[in-house]
Amino acid sequence: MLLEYIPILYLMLVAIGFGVITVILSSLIGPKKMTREKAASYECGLPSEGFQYFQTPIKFYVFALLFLIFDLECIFLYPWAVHYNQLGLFGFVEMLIFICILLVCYVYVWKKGALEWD
Amino acid sequence: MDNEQIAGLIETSLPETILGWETTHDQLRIATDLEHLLPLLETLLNHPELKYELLSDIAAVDYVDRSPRFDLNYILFSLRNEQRLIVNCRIDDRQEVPTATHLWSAADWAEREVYDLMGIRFSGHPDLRRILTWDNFEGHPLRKDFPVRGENFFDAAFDPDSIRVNSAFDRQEPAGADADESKTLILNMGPHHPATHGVLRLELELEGETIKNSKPHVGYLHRGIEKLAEERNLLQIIPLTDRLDYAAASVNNLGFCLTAEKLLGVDTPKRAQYIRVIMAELSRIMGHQLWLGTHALDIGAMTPIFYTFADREMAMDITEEVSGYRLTPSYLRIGGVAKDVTPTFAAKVKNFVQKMKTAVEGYHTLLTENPIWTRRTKNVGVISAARALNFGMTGPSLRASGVPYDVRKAVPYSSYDDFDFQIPVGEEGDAYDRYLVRMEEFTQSLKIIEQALDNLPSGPFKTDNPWVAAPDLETVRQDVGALMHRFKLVYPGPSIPAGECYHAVEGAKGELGFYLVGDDTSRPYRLKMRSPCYYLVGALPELIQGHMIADVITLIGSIDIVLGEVDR
Amino acid sequence: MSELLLTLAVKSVLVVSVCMLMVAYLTLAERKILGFIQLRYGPNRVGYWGLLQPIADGIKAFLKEELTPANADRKVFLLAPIISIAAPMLLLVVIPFGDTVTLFGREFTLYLSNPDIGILFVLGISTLGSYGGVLGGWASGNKYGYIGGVRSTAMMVSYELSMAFAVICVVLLSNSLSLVDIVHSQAGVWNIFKAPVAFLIFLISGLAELNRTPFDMPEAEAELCCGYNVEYSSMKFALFFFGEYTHLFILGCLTTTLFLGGWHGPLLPGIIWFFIKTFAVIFLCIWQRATFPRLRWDFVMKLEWKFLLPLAIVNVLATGFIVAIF
Repeated sequence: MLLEYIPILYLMLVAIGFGVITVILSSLIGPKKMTREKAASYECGLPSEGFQYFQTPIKFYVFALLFLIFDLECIFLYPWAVHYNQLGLFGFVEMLIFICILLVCYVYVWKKGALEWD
Repeated sequence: MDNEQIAGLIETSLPETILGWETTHDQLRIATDLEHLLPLLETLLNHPELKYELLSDIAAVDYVDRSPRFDLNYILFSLRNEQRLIVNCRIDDRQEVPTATHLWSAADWAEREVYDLMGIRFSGHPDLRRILTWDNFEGHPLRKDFPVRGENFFDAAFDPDSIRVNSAFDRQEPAGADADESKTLILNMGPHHPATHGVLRLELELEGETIKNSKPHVGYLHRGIEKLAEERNLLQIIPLTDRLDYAAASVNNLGFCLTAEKLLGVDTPKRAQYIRVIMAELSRIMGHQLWLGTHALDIGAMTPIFYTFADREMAMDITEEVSGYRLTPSYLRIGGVAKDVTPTFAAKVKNFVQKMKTAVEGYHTLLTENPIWTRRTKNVGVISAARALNFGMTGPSLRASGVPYDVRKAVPYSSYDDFDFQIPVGEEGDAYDRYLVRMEEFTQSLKIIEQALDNLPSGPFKTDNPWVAAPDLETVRQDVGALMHRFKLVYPGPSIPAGECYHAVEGAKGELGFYLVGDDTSRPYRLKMRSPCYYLVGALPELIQGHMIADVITLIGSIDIVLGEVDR
Repeated sequence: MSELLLTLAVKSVLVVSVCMLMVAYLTLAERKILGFIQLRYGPNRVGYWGLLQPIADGIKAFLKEELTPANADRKVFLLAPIISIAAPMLLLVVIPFGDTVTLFGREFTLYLSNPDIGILFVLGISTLGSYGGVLGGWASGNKYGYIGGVRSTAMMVSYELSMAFAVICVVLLSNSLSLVDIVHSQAGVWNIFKAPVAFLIFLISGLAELNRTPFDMPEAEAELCCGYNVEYSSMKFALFFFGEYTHLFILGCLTTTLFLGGWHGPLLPGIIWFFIKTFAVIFLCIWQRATFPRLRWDFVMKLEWKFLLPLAIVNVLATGFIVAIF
């Protein structure tokens, strides 16, 4: 079975190699006339003032946490889905309970207003 | 109410504030002094029978040899009486004028412009900074003693890098460790930005993606057209007006020509008036086509612009056929048009109208019912009728809020009262309504063009009033008097009688007004242009407050600004 | 053993070069199709019918100056475009372009690899690709880039969910995580007919992962002046661009594999059917780009969290129920 992973290794080498080589090549070929203006970061033609990294609103962290929860749940479903044929109706009822718990959490999160974007 | 009744009403309600009133060129002018200016303005705005809710503009004139030196003209419009009023106040060089920003929000930008270009200070103004010139500019360019022709100013030593435009926000940047505590981000949007319709610069204070505060900066395209106009004769000014709203140029010509004709007392023959109407409405359609394409492109729909531009090409071809130019036709003249329309003109315009009627339906299918489009524009940038008027918003942007103010109907000019057309009005005052109003204006403009074309009278295409009309070349070859007359009209240009008058037309973006001051020479003593876009940009911070970055783009598009007109 | 390794190496290089050539011409196809929809020609100067345009674009990108802004995080700035091209390229390894063919008396599979966890591999690596945008925006030291990066993060995280849930339905129907097995299981009826809702969710989430209109939030050129790649120039910019199109190609391939029956089809050879279906999906993506305006940022998040995600979860249940009954 390990044989299936050899092409993945090959392609990984090819893909990363392609990226690295193009970046190196273009930096060798392209002209290099750096000026102060070129090195300045773009902000619609004006010197960029203040901080580039503002405090990211807490909303984003809430969504990151929600993502973690749901993605983990989702991964649990994969093995279930693969063996679904063997599990039959029992498997379905089991997963129904599992997903219902998930949906209860989801409704709770919604009601709490964590999904409001504004 | 007519002018006399209104003057009488003002005199009785505020007996000692008025120095005098007169009606010149059908327009009521009231003179007052600095002391009584503010109470008078307050009464004019709030008196239940007057209600001058729209501050069109403040036109300052510099009489350099006179004392007191400056004239301030507040141009007001009452929707209740459909009547315009000019309040004149003379002030001295050193006097400060009390601000009117608490009465009309439009006064904010109007006063900043007066301060910037004339150097008149307004006491109590919340944010009196330069607006069209840069922050460390020296002098006030529209004063008569400002050096012209580049003497002593843009000499070889002038270094463009010394130009400073400061941030409009007072920020005490927290130092060191506190730097991470900054919750808001100041983001410059423009002038070098794909969606600010030219060179508008917005300073946004962001919290996350929500706009807490914003300050527009304009003036990147300031060419000093008002100052240039003081050095040119009437004929030479017409091309300058093309460069205001270059997306719809003929209507600017119309506004200027009508103002000059009013001051000169020149009548235009009916045929010329109808041709002018056709050209003005064509340019309005062209302006709206440009707006629709770019507005949709800003919101991310990349296809409509190609359709509108393909159709706009037809209108361009017609403009080219009659005037020889496509974008900046300069087709109108004082007292008429440059030359009569070509024989194929009528057929081409008819064809255009027919094609546009189906094209407008096509635009509707592209966007009007599109769910993403409605979600992006509905309930975005809602502004009430009262606020919109207070900000001096005019044109489709005002009508979308439900105010049926259209100069073509309110103060008809150039035979607009001959035609049957409606003024589309919105209800909510959001971006979607502004979109719908403009879409309906396509249809109405086409209707006007059709009527004007069907009833196009025969006759001369320009006036024979010797004040502005030169004798034709045949006469000039035989008669030395006619030669001198023609030379006089072409070289120095027709003389502009002493006097002042304001005239406005409905431009593609709103009330486009010209305040012309003559002094018996051939060059205007002062030409103030009331640019609708200037006040629309002034209202932008209120519109985008609390919205997201994506909505800023929607709203810039939805008020339809052309920076050439904002900056002049 | 060494012969096998060599065969695999040759196959790998062959698959990558053919697919990359297709991706390069995808850029031309998109411009031509958009041009057709928008009453214009599209590129038609370089070569006959503009056929050399992608090559000219590539050469031009090489000859441009590379800029790194002074306040950029240099290492991450360099890394970001490499990630964004490498991840979708790596995905080519599991795409089953066809079944087996016999050449020179030997049997070849028309896929490089068929790992047991094919789908999980795809989901994992395609998420990795989004790091390119995130890191690029963050490392540029630019406010627009930063906002684009933040948007990219939130979108990647959100739409990953509904996509994963949609794929579960396919796994339910096929009882395997291997892409080849999934295609085999569709020999009779394609999955799109068995799980149409999952197909729509998958396609929408896929578009969002791709950052294509109407979901092109991270780079929304009208708002953020290209967002995360605003500071990139020369080949580094081209890599982002190329990565995006490779991802589009991969999306077409995956949709075909998971829902449209892969290489199955009458008369024509399997591999032809595979590419017909793939390019039909890609055409759909290009077509809707010309049609729709861009959604607003908060709508995009609402669409996912309040509509697609619950729909996808309930859809898993519904599919499970139907499979259990029949």
